[in-house]
Amino acid sequence: MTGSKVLKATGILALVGVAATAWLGLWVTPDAVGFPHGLVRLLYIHPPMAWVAFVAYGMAFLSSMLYLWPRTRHIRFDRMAGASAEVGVVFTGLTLATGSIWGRPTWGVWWTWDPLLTTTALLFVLYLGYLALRRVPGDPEVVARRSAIAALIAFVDVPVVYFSVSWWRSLHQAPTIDFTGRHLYVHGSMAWTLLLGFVSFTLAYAWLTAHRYRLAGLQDSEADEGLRYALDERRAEGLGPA
Amino acid sequence: MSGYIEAGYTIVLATLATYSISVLVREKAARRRLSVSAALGAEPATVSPVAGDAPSDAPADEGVLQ
Repeated sequence: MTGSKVLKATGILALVGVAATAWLGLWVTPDAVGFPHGLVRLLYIHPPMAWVAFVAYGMAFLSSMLYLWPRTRHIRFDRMAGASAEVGVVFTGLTLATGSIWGRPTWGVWWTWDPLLTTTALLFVLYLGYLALRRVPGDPEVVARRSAIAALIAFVDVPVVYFSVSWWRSLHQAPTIDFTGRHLYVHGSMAWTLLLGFVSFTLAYAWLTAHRYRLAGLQDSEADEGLRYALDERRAEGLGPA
Repeated sequence: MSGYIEAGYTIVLATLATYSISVLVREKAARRRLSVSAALGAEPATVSPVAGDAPSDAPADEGVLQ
């Protein structure tokens, strides 16, 4: 199977999985005790959004490390870091939006300066800054290096977000899935739907990042093409009559 | 169900759909621009103006990138 076919298959699987998660989450799974207005149904989208954001920033961190490491330095790692971080920002925005929608009927407010919410908002802003930094013009190597360093710095906030509910007194519940203790706090059809949500949105992340990575490559080629064109013009003018 | 749940699902699905379409459209447009530019590059006269193309009364430095 070629890369394109794998990518297409990933896209179709992600689409089917996300649709199935929405169908199961909205109409099939039961309501849970302790969650008024059926709000537990937001469980199938809110934690997967946060999970995918972490995966995206993890990939940006890894790619940036590989770019900075002299033996593995290649522009493709810089492109991958940028692509993954951009997708991560989209998912972080959705984490904040779905969390806010869940918080309003539960806590009575759209937003509160809770440690988890605050560190997540900080994460969002940090990576927005990272994306802005990537757009600051300069020599491509210098831009890639400073972006890689910024990605490493921004990633420091990821474990802080995850452990903030344990480190500080928080309004937010503890994580639904305890990755350190390997414990899942939901059962039955709810657990399967949640698992499907995690897998489907992760596939969506992979598909989106692959396309964004391709786009970055094309944009770099366009920039090279433009530079070559300008140099050709300049050379031709140099040959003209004095 | 309360409106909150529908709002949550709508925001997630609509945002992801919009972002996916935007990436695909930009990718397609970049591919098209590159293929057009490659096709133009195959014709040297259009990309690299040959000496003597400039009008004889034009200043020597006209059009030179500053």
